[in-house]
Amino acid sequence: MSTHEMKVRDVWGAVASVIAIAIGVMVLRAARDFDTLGAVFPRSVAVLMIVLGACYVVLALRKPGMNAVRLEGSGLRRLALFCVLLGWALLLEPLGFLTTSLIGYVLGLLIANFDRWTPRMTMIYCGAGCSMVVGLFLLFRFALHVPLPPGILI
Amino acid sequence: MPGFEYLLHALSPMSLLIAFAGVLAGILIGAMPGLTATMAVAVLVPFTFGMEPGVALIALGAIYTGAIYGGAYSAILLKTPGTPSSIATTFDGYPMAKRGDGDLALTLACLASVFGGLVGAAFLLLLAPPLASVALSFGPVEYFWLAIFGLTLIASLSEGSLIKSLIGGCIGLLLSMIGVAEVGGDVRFTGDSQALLGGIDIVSALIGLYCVPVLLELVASPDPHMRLGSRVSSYRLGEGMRQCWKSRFNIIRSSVIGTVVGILPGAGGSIASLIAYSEARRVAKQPEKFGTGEPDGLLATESSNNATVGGGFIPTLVLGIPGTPPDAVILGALLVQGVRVGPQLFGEQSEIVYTFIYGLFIATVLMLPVGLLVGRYAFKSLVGIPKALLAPSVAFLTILGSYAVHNNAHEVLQMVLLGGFAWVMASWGFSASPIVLGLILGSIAEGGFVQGYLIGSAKGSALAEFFGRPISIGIIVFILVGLLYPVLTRRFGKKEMKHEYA
Repeated sequence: MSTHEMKVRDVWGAVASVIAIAIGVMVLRAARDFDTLGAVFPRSVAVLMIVLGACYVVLALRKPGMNAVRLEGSGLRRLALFCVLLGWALLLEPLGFLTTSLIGYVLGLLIANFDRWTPRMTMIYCGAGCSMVVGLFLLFRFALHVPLPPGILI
Repeated sequence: MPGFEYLLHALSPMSLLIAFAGVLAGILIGAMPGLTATMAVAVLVPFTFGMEPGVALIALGAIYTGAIYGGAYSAILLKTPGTPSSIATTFDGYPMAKRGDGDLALTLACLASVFGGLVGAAFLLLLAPPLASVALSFGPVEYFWLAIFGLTLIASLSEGSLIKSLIGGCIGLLLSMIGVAEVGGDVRFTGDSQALLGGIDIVSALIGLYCVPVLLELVASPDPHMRLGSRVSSYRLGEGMRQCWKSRFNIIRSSVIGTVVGILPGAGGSIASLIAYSEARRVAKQPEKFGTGEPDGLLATESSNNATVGGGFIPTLVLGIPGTPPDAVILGALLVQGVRVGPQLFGEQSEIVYTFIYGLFIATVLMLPVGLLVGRYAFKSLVGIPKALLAPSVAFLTILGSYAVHNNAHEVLQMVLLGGFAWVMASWGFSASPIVLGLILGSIAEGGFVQGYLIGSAKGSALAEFFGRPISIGIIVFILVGLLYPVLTRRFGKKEMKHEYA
């Protein structure tokens, strides 16, 4: 991860710890509905998480540390790729594995490329990518008999 | 040496060809994130039904051993374990690749895997029947302590803050509890989702937690994704062998750990490599270097996970109890072939079993040239491939791999969501490795604890069950030594330094 460590208060670490405490409390509440043996582990882990979360909040707010991290690079591209992955996963079954993968691959190419697109580069990148997607699809679908979802397209 | 005449059978051109093809196929499948050794063996089992039993077994053993080693490629080059056995390989393998030593890391992984595989096969050949009894002496309590032993590794994996790592471990443990409880049948933390009833699949989770954050960082900046070392034109074999010789005790210890853990049904390569890594770090002169690209960490994990192959075959062949998931698939293939496993196998069907064991030796040795060649090609390709092509290609492999685990689109969604979660956690300073450790070891620890508690209560004392069994005591001692050793050495080290200054 492209990050820089800073000697500042780890506010985000403290926020995460507060969330961990909240999760711990929710787990303790949910564990009331489990039978005795089924509740032992969730309770123990939840208590541990609450204690650790509280310790970190105190430590993070008391003094500046070396645990805070600052991200570098394009947040927009990260978000775009995550959305593409999410859409890829959600559309696999309705659209079909091959179609979704080809669309996902091309969108991934667009997000990951920082250079100026030229006709030659477009042809090479799209050709190589689509060959890989189609090749592995054929291998898994027909040689290894993995039932990849057909969807409404392919 | 027992059944030496069968070595000639295993050296027949057909057996050699099958072993070579099996190793190559295993390496290629294992190298793809999400395609595990179990899947490699399961997918290729039908191709062995037409072969004679000895040769079929050689093929399956070669695929298995190749796939376990193949997992190291994506672990080193992409920080994504190709198989769960190579989780710990990412800890030092990826930092080595990032600093330009990816070729050396791949060579070391190959050498360590070959050595570990040979040690496991040697134990299988020479000590199978007596060692099989070890598997029977491990009860739920021992599994519980073994899982706790693995969890103590969280302390050594902490990057920056130990508390953050422990919180990460707790999150992993909670994730492992999602679904139907193994004992009692409670439906826990599913949020009424049918898709979560079976829990979170470990392979999909591994791909998401490790690979998606790497992908998101790949597209964030135009900087090169990997540095090219100055000596990329060579295999760096001489340097690798010198490093292996320097770390010979580490490799031997890790291989023995891998074999013993492989014997235990259900434990497998992931636990073996974590324990071997933990031990290598504990006895290292500079443990703080582990996690930053320390060759000893890589050697420990790779030798131990390949040693589980031979180790896992011991209870499979002698007792009919599969030591690891791929062994279960191979056991099924053996039954189809008409082979009756059990202690009588080494007497009544010695031709098959010894041909197989020697075949496993040959497959492991073949891994050296095949692994070095594939490794060099993989490294050069990955360094040379433009980032714009690499990111969507890896994204496609993660989608394909997580779908192919159980042919389930829900697991692809789980993978992506867990990946997003891991990225957010990483940006807040929480590493993915403790979460993964908690996720893998949580169900083993809970299952062992609950079953041990029930057995102990039925016997009259749960405490005696947990703290009174000899193997449990041994593991508890290791846990305490592992936890206290670094503290004590630091303390005594400081005292010695004070004396020197005084």
